[in-house]
Amino acid sequence: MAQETDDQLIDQTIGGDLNAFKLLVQRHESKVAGVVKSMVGATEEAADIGQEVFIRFYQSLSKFRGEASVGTYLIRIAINLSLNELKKRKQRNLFFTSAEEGGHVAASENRQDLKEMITIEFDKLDPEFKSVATLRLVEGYSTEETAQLLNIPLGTVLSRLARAQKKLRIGLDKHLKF
Amino acid sequence: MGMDKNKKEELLLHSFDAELSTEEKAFLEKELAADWKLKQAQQAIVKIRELLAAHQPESFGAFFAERVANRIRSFHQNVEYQLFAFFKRYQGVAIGLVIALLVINVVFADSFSLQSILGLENETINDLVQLDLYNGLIK
Repeated sequence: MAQETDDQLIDQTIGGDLNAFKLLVQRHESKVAGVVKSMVGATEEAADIGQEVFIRFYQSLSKFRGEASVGTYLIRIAINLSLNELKKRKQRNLFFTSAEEGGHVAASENRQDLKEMITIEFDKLDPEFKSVATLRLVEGYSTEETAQLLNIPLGTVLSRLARAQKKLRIGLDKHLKF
Repeated sequence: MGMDKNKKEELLLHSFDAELSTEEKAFLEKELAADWKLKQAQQAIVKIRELLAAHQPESFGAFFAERVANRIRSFHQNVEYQLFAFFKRYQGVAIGLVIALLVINVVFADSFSLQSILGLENETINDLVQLDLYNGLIK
């Protein structure tokens, strides 16, 4: 039996078939999880944001006209909600800074694993750099797709990518010896 | 060619994501051969990109789709949602009725004042007498 398309599953969901929506969730969970976890880290909030992404999509199904693919639509919601979460964290951190940061540095010094170091350095990127780096470097979207997903000019994508990579390289300098 | 360190690195970073011109490519290759620090930076960026791209398929944990479906079910059961859905369903009809009433008021009123549009036109004593309402009230 041929696999149903996203559009067919959307029609079935609008018709009241929640199982069709579950199939859509299963189909796109990995991409959404990749983006959300890359943006906010593998935290408890990540799963909450993931749920919120799909709930918002469900609530807007009747308005979904298919100008963009379901994947694109979901990634946009995921990026926006992740940026909101990062903004909230930044506001919280205005009140709780020094202790947490101290712990972070201490932990990073003890970690040898380069992959973990990259995760830590990636997490330090500013949200606007992180969103570009997530889509391009982690999820493998082209620079044009990244620009479309974030609704920013291609030149901005390129300059943010360059700055993000430069920051990562400087942060990882002592761990990357050739 | 006098290009400073930052410009060279910028060109290197752009080379990963954008198409460089023939001159830029040639210049970068020449610099990479001559400048070991730039070469090291290139290797570092390649490594970083490899590690970032080599992530495992992510998920939000077991039964994620079911958890989302449960939230949608509870959302539907929520009275507030049902009321919202009811009004949303009939909002077009309701707006149409209100507009029709306003139009009828305008058509049958003598003036185009706000009061007449809203059907609140002031009645004079004479109007009330004519309608026998005034007499009825003072009896």
